Amino acid sequence: MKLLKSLFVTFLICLPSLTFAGDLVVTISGMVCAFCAQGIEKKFKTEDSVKEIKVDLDQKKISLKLKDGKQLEDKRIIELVTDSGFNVKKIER
Amino acid sequence: MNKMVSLILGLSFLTAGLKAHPVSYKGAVSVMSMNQANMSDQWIHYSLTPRFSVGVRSIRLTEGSQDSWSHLSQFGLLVKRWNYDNFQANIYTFGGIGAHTYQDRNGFAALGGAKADIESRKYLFSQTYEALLQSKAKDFHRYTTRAGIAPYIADYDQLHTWLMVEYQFKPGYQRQHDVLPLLRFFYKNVLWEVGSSIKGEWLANFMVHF
Repeated sequence: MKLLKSLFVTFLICLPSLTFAGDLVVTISGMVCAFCAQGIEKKFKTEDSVKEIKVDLDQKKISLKLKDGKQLEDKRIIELVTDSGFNVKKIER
Repeated sequence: MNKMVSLILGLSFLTAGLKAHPVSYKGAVSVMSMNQANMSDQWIHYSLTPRFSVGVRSIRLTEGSQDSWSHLSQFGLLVKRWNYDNFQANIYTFGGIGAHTYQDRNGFAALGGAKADIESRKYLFSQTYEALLQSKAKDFHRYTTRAGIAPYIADYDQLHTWLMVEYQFKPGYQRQHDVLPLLRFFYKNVLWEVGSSIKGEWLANFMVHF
């Protein structure tokens, strides 16, 4: 019973990452306002290779899920974030 | 860092309401409507780059029972932005030329101003100065100071709420001083504000990015 409880709690903790496992995580500086960060979401959603984007203001990160067989170069990521008015701090693949 | 904060706060005393950034992300169309009993101010701007935008602006000023209307073409320029992990600070400038109408007389109008702001997820402070020069009516100068605090930290997809107070100084006008407590809300790409001056006059602002 105790083991089942532990497994259930672990499942709940991991649920957010299970529901959205990004192919790319981009740390962005200056992203403190959800209204202003709409530009980032809009820019990446218009990108052909991007299937899904999740914005995390707490962590100042965006997670990107790419379409099958598609790539998104660092240079393009930096360009999209800059066009949104922010700066890229780190790109993790 | 301290130097930068000092610069922003210093510019504060040079330098309206809303999140009236004259510039947004590249390709954004921003529609802003700021309305008070003695003034209304409507903007439509297109950001050519994240630093430069062009648009049109229409301003109504009411002094006594007389209205003056100005319609202008305007540019907005992001002079400098500081992006840090927990805050962002900006200096903007804007200017425009156009025409105005006052008491059935038509004339030229010109506008210029600057805005400085600093914002985190919890606090906000901004200062704006703007001057509207009108050939057939008296010029209008406004200094606006605004401070805000978010009572809770909302996630990206949630409704955001801010408690704010705005002070306006309009030298030469009947109502030189106005203090306006207000509430700001935003959800996704739509922002709206409601408030009232301490004399009971309403304020309603709206902004959307497309």
